[in-house]
Amino acid sequence: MMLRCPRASELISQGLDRRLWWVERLRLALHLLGCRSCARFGRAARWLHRELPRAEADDRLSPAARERLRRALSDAESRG
Amino acid sequence: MAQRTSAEERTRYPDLPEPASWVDRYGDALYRYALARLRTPHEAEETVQEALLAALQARGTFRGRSHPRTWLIGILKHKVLERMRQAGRRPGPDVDDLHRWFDGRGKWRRPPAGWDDPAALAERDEFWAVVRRCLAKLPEKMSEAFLQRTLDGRPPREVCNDLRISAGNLWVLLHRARLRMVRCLEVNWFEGGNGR
Repeated sequence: MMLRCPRASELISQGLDRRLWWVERLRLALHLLGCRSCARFGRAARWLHRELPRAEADDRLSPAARERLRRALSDAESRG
Repeated sequence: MAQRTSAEERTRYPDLPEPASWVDRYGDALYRYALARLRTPHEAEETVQEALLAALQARGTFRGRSHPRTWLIGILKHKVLERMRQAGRRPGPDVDDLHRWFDGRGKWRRPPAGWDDPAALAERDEFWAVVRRCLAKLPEKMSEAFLQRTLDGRPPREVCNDLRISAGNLWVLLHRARLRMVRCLEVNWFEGGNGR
């Protein structure tokens, strides 16, 4: 039976979290031959999976924020 | 027996350092955790502060059963959840019905568009701001699964243990999270005219 888009998109997603069975890979590959929408979803999902960690790579406390936090802590500590 | 266990555990993890050093040691890790889950740097900083002050109060309860960083993140986790609830982010629904995305014949209701040259996206700072807004819209459990798996790069089994869900549940959560993220980025980036 031909794979349809809902299941195909599930397999695309699961392929990022586990190794698909060869039957699943074959059926998915056949579906993708004829379905540009799922192929596009696959490209997007894989890209997100790979690149998302970059979204936070530069996230650091600013020096000002760091200072505010330090002061809040030491104030609270001295109050007991 | 209980005593021996705790002694063993104490040798494995460092003691809780002096509060004065917390910001330098763990500040960035805490901030990253909060920022990924909340909307703005301001909110993230406030929540980190709440967590640090709560940790100060509770430091007598630190038993060395986990790494100090993990202990602090655990406190932060509660503060972040409180804030999400105040902001009206509901815990559920965990899972979207597939009909949200596909029609009765199994066709995409709105086929994915854009994504022809995703590599170019990463160079744009504004794109990451949109990513963050889209992440902030995910429902709580879906968001946590997706962040742990993708942002933190944790293996699926660890995420399952942490969230107490089966592998099957995790796959469904991640699938829906990816559908939502792809769609949200399309609406807010490509269709917003930024993609070209």
